[in-house]
Amino acid sequence: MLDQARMQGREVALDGLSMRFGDFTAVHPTDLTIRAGEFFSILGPSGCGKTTVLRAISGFAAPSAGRVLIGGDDVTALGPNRRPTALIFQSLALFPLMTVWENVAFGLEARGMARAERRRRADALLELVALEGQGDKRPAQLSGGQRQRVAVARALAVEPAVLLLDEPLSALDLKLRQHMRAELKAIQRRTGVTFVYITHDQGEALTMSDRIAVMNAGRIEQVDAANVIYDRPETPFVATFVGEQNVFEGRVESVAEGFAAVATPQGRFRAIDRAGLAPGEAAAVMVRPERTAPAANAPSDANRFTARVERIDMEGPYLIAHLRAGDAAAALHVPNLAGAAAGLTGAVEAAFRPEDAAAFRPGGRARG
Amino acid sequence: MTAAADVPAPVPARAGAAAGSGGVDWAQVALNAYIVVFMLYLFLPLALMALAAFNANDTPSVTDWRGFTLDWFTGRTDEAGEVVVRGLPQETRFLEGLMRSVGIALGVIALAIPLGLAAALVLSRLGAASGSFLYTLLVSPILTPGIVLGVSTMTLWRDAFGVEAGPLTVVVAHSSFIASYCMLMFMARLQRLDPALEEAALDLGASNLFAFRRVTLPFLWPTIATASVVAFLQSFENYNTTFFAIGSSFTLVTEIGSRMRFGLSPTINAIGVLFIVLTVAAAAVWVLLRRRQG
Amino acid sequence: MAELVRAYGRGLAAVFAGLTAVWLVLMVALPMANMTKRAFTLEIRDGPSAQMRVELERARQQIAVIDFDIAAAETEIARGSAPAAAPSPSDPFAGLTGRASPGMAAPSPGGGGAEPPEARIERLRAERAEAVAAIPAMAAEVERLRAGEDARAGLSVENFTTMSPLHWRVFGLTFLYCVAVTTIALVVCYPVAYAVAQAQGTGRAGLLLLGLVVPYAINELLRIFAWTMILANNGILNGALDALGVIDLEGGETIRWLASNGSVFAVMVYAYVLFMVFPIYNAIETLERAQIEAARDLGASVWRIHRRVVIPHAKPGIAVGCIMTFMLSAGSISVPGLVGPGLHPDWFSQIIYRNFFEAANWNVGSARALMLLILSTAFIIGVMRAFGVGVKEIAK
Repeated sequence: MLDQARMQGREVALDGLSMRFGDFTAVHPTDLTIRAGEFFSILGPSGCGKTTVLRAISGFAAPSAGRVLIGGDDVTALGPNRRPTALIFQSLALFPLMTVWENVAFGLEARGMARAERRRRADALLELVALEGQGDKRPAQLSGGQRQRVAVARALAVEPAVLLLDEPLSALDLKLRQHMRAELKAIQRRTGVTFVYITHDQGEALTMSDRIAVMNAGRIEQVDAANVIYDRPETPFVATFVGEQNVFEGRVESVAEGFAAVATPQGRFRAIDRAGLAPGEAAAVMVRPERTAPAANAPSDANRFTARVERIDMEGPYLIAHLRAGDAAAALHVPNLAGAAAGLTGAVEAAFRPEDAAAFRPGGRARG
Repeated sequence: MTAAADVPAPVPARAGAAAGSGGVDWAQVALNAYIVVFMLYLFLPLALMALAAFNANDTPSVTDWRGFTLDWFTGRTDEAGEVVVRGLPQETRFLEGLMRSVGIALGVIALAIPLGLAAALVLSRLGAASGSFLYTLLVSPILTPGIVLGVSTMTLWRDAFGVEAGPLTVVVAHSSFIASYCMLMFMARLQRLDPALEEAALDLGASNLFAFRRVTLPFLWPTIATASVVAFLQSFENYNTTFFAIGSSFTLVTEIGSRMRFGLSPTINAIGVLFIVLTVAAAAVWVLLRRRQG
Repeated sequence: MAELVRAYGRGLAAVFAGLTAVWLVLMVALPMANMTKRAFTLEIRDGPSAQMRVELERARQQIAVIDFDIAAAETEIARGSAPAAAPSPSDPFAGLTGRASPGMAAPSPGGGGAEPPEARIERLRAERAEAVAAIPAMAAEVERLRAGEDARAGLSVENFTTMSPLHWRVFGLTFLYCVAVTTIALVVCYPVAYAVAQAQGTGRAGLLLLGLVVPYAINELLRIFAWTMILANNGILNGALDALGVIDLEGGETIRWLASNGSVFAVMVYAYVLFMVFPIYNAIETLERAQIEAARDLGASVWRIHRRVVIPHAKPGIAVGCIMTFMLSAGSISVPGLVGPGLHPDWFSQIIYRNFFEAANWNVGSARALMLLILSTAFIIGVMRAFGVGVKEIAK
């Protein structure tokens, strides 16, 4: 069995890190601390700069300014082969001409370890990732999920303090992906290595991570635990990129006790003021479809609006009713109980609680 | 003959035009006939040359047949050991030239493969503008007439380094353009190398040298082998560049050339037969290997 | 460059860049630069400096001879013996020419043999000192004359402008013949390449390909040799004509096929025709067969299918084929040099050869080689323009 005691996660800190390529700024000056031993995700759409951050941490890209610190040591000037990090590539980058165990033991070979000892360690790691007895195959002879695990074992073999994962699950089908999420999470717990996981898939980020950084256009917009990111997004981008939102645009009428009252064509809505709004300003009220419900049982202070049901989608555990209220499209989720769809026809009145809604300045939302 | 007249793709069978399945595709027939004539054109001279190697006539000929003989291959001596017919064993310059040709070709492999590989690696990491300029320069020897490569190399080495023309300058002159061919082969191969592989090796703590040796080179080995064969053949068969750069020395091919100037001898036919047999055998092996793989 | 260092580290990057630089500078750029320099440098082969240099050489030789004589005299003294009984007559060439045989010249040239060795050494030493003293002045004079000539020689286009009308004619003819070789090869090869490419996937294609590869792989000289054998005075062609009764070989009637540019031309087509087939074949091979079928299905004529579908697709291959065939035939010394050598008018490559190896006039030779290079490059650029293809496509 693998000597897990040897592995120890370390903290990663970005200190004013920025990355420019010619005129293009891929990453604006960024400060970020990833705690030792946590499962940390960087979530963002493609082209937001998350892979560039990862390459800066791994040493493949030199920062234009700022420093990278691992466990308090400045590694900015070190090449990738001298950092206590290991990277799992999007393509996995398994060496096609080597056997599985040679792949796993490659880092040890590079360190000059004797062949017998390498083989022993490789076998132990293959056991950790449930690939006992597959060591003498070639990567091409394995399934997608198995190759995934070889890549993990190969990266863990060098006992890194930080494991960097660049969307490693994107090539797998849905079922396998869900299985591998659990497996990666378990490996992270067992080894205590700091995981930095890059993804554009919010589901992956939300299910696996201790904390998530949401990145947009070269800037980190929010760093928080998954539930905070989801429930209390700080920017319109985070609000709309992670999960769905119903959006109503209007003008602020008043602000009081942390709540803003916004007049919209759909009605006058109260929502938590997340932007320090002032009366008269344009604003967008956002609320999640699952916090929006038919108005029948809504409390008296709830925001209400009437809309027409355009279509109902069956999602399995719940139903999505697609609504249209004037110019705004909205949706609400109802549990898939007997007769749930019956009342959802024609014009309906929908409601949401002010504390479930947030008011931002308009603009800066995620596309789609 | 013009290209158009003889490019007989099958004539379209328009509705009502062709008489069903019994129609003869004259265009295809003409194309086939043309291919037969072309193959005859290619092979007949070679066949005649091969045939003359077995004619006892000491002028290479097939029309003036003086009986079958293997003397041009084996030579013939009388009881006293006096040479009666000079065959290949007596023509020691051919053997000497062959050895030198092989030596030169091996030298070309040793020089052209590293140069071509290095340049391919450099080009694979250069930006578009500077890359395409360097690329044009490095491909230019392929497009330079062989005799120009020969004289320019020979002249430079005497003027700048005091080295007289000889096998060394031939190796250099050959390598200058054969390295271009090798470079193109390596570039094609490198395009299929996932750069993440090299990065993965570095990321796992490999030194640059270790990563190159363990990841990049193994990926390139098949191409190194093919490029070596190509380099060997290109060098071995070359005449026009060699002729200008060899000085007073000689190779098998320039020796064949100087024999041809002095007059035709059936021993050259004998060499031709050996070349043909070797080529056909190599081609057969190649075909068999391909069959087995595919 | 930074990218290279990042990928392979400083050490390996330096090795790769260094090797590339060696190739580029030492094997591509410098030879061309040196050849160009020679081409534009007028070499004055028998000017005053050359004559002066001959005298300087003589003076140096004379000193060497005197040294030999002194050594001989010293041996004589050491032996303590008298000079040989019959001293040889004085060397009539003592002076400028150097003495014919120093051994024979050992006894004194001056006093009819009476001179004792000691005196002789004395006199020889004086002669030597005189000769040595004269050398710097002579060397300086050579330099001075040379500098004057260099000033006149220097950069000059005379190597080009003094080319005789005959050679200009050869230059032009070589170009025309090579264009003709290229054109014929293209016309002959296009259908072949098309047929082989179209047979792709059938067993016949492999056989056809093999039929093209084997003669291609046979040495160029042997292909030429096969034809020389056919075209020789007592060769196969005349033999066949004799058998048909057209000529009478026994009676000394022959047709001299070899002694013409036509025969050089015919053999050249044979020698380089396959360099046209393979590039075109490679290009057509990548054309989807469905495209041709679609065109045919739409009712296009054979001619139209080729003009609108196949040829546009094969363009890069045709360009490469034309470039290679032209370049090879323009730079060929094998065919004109070996097909009835000396019997037919020169080809330009032979003029280059003569200048280098018979006239030993390397600067003029370099100028001719440069002209050939320019001709070939101009043709290549012209073809690339005409076909609208770039170097990247050419080198595939």
